[in-house]
Amino acid sequence: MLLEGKKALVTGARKGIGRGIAVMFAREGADVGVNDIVDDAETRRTASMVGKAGRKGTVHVADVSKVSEIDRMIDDFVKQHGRIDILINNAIFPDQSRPLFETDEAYWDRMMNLSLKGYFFAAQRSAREMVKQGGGGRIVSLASVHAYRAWKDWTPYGIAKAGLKRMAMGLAVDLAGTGITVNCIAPGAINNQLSKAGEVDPPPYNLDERPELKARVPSQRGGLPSDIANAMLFLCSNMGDYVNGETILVDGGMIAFGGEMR
Amino acid sequence: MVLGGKSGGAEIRPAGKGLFGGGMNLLTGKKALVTGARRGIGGEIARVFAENGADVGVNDIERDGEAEKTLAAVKKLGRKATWHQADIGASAQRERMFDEFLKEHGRIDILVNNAVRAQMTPFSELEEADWDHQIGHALKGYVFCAKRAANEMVKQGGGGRIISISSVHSFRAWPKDTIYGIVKAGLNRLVLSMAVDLAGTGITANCIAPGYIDSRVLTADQEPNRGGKGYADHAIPLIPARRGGLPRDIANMALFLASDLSSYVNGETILVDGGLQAGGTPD
Repeated sequence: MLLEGKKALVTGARKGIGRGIAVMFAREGADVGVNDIVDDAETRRTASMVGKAGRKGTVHVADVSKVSEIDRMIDDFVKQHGRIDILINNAIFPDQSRPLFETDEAYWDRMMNLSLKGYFFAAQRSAREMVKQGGGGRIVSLASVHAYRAWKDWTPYGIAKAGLKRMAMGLAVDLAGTGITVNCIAPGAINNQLSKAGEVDPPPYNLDERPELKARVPSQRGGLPSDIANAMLFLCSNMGDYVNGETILVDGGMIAFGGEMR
Repeated sequence: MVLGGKSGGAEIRPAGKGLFGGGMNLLTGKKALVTGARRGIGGEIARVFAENGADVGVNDIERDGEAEKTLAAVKKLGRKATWHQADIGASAQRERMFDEFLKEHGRIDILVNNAVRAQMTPFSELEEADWDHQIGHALKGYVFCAKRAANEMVKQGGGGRIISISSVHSFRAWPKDTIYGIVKAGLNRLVLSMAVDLAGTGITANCIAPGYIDSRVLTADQEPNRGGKGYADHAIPLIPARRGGLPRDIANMALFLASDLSSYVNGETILVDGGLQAGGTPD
């Protein structure tokens, strides 16, 4: 198994990509801390799926846009697991898109506080623990295709995601020689809805209902949480040891494509 | 090649059975052709693919002791190893290589474009012959190997994987690397077009961009120090990982990209450079 005995904390793991990562990490031998802002049946379900894979699953409710809650979450995680080997920065709120002239200061702050400030301080705090522990570690943040191109009404989200690409570069350099690698995965159109009991993936997007995906994605399917979790697994295992400061697109070729042509 | 029942997504195995668990047979029964696989990165990719259950065609321009070692390693892992001597820059040899591979293996699931001989020349001394030679081999050769492989994969049905070895030289310039850099930048761009033009075939096309990789021929007792002191010592302070890369680092990424784990990675170039490209110029 690729992550035997590793201790991994996944933010925003209540459903979707975060859940996929948590469960597939557990299947590869990791104990997993499940973070989300709400403590409900779905959050608990992710933790119990970790348990069902034979690993320890703990729930850590915290608003990871606040540094004080990040600190409390990581204290709690380290208390329960003894150490932290892997941090996955994944938490995001639902209304990620907003028209330019409806973007007020409060929305901007909410986006930046979660997706940039929160990811940064969670990475900083985890790296501090990893350095103290010795033995390196892995920090991976969810970027997006929005870090590469602009779609209408997605500017603050895109700015935050582009910032994460640069953050991985900066932290790779700042943490040189510690054995910690810092990378991003940039997903394309991933179905992030709830999955059925016991399953990691919800059904993929129906291409007849989402014809733009068929037109724009060379792989001609919607992505699934397991697509992202597979790439995460690679990066967080020893196999990804020499990948550092990098952002990997997992988008079915969406970004390769320039646009419709007749 | 694209797995997974109803979804077409990556395979989800039952709890307790890891994706990589039980011997990591990520390429069971696949037929892979690796160019420039006599030794170094290509040789290691051949080994790692064989470890994961693939039969491997080994291409290079000469069959020497190193080539024999690679072929023997694949066979020792219980997989079929075939030798395909060809200069991928020469169209007749290239086509013959594919004909032979298909005759031996019946099909092709994975192509790794890796063969290269870098020639470093200062810009002001570039000769047209150097340009023609390097572009003809490392760019044109890769393009037409990829085209032939893709056409076979489409004919077979079931998709496939085409992986090309690019370089950090595709992103930044080092002294005397003009042609090499252009070739590698061209490969990054090639996979964008392959992803788009091969849309819906289940074939993915991607590049790996290695940084400093210690692919020297070493004796068994020197092997533990591969990537360590004595290799690119001047560069280590610029590499956040603080070591030289190993052929195995690249082979691991090639394995990921060749496997079903990466079925949604397409048209992408992935750096495997220990963080070299993340950093700016030295202080």
